[in-house]
Amino acid sequence: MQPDASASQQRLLAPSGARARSAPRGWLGLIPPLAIVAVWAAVTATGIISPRVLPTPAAVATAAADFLFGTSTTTLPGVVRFEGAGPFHIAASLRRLLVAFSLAAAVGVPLGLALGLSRRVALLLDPLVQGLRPIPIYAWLPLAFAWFGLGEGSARFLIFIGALFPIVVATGDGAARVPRAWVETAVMLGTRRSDLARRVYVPATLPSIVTGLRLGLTLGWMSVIVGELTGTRRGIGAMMFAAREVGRLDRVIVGMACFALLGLGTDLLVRRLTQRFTRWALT
Amino acid sequence: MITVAGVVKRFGSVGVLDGIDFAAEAGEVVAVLGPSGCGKSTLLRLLAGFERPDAGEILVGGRPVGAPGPDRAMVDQSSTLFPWLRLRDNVAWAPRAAGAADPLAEADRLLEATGLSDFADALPATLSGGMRQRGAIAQVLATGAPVLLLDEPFGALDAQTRLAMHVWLRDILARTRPTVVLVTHDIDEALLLGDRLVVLSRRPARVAARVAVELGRDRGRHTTTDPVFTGLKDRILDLLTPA
Repeated sequence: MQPDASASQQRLLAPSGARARSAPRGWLGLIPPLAIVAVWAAVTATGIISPRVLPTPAAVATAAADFLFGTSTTTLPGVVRFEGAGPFHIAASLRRLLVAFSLAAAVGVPLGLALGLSRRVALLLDPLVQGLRPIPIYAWLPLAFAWFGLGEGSARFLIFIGALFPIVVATGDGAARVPRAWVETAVMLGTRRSDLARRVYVPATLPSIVTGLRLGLTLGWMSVIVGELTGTRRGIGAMMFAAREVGRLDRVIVGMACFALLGLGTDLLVRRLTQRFTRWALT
Repeated sequence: MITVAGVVKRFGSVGVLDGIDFAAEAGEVVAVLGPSGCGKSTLLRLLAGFERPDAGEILVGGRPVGAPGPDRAMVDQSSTLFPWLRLRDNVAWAPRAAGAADPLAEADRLLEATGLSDFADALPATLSGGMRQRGAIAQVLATGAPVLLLDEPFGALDAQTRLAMHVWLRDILARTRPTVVLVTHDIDEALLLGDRLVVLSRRPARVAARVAVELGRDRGRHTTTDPVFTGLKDRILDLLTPA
């Protein structure tokens, strides 16, 4: 080894066993969020930032406990509940996302495959897809109201639109890039043309489909909050808007944390469920 | 078994093959040699039916070739194993497509015969280059096609591995006896594997020579120092090296 090699060079030059031993651990990823919480606690405790602008971590933790385990003090109709209503709102958002996301996947994957595999379909539909794709989710809000009214229908529609395009685009892109050699080999090995989709195109596109589903899921979660602007009284978004109305930023942050954890959890679930089919693309 | 008569192929204004004639008897290995870019691979793609000739005729088993068919199977230099399938499932592909009763059992038999049983459950990406090429050849042998088209099948491998592959393939071919057209720019490979050589000229390619390889059945590392081998190699080098 060169005597003047830097630490990082030395690590790269080390035998792979040694490199594995010094490889970064998963818990390292916890350091930045913990550091942020520490800074947050420091600036709120010392009064540098007013709790009206940024509640203390302790206040948020109390609100979270309240949200999940508290006892409701209001029975007024039309009021978005908070205390103890965590499971109720989380289930509502999750159900909304899963219904809309499943529909987006059911439409998006076949549409993406058709776009990627058929030149004719691409000529016909690609301009439409590319044209609709950049429209922000908020811009769909008035149409959603007009078509589905206030509430659940609009919320699901907006999440569907949010999740659909990443799925279509990633799937189409992957399908269009299936190497010709694989298709020729399959034909040469006696595969019928009608079996090519099932035996070659779909498995070869699966890693891209999974990427599309993961992106769709993220965009879907981002659209949940928009969907919950539609006057629904259930869901994390609904709770957050109600909290903002009364200036409870601690509750707003609890809602944000819920979205973060649910997003992470559902992404992990998709990755776990699809690992078996996509691991070849990682090796 | 294979007749190539007066085959001409152009891509736009570029002439690639300019009247190629040769034949291969059943069970024979014909090696097609030629300088890089002379159209050897195009010739093989014509035989496979992936391309059509502009003039001339290609007959396999007496029938004209129009499209890919179950009587011809091809392996090229970049292994074409399906990366998402274990080696066993890759080899079982053709029997499965043909509706075999137990494709996996057929795959296991072939893996055994080709010395790949230990790697049956491996994904292609975890195999070495040589192993992948052996797998690709086993996959193609599983079609039971009477004609095997090999396009520089070991072109991406290092010299030592290549020699081991030649010995391995000779053994397999001797046992399965398909008719083989092997395209290569490696003279050693052509002489170790071929019964006859067809030497092509630069593009647009014509047949520069047809050479019978009289080196006997048992060929291996020792063959490369045989005076017949070195004599043939000299002669072919002369043919391939522009004056």
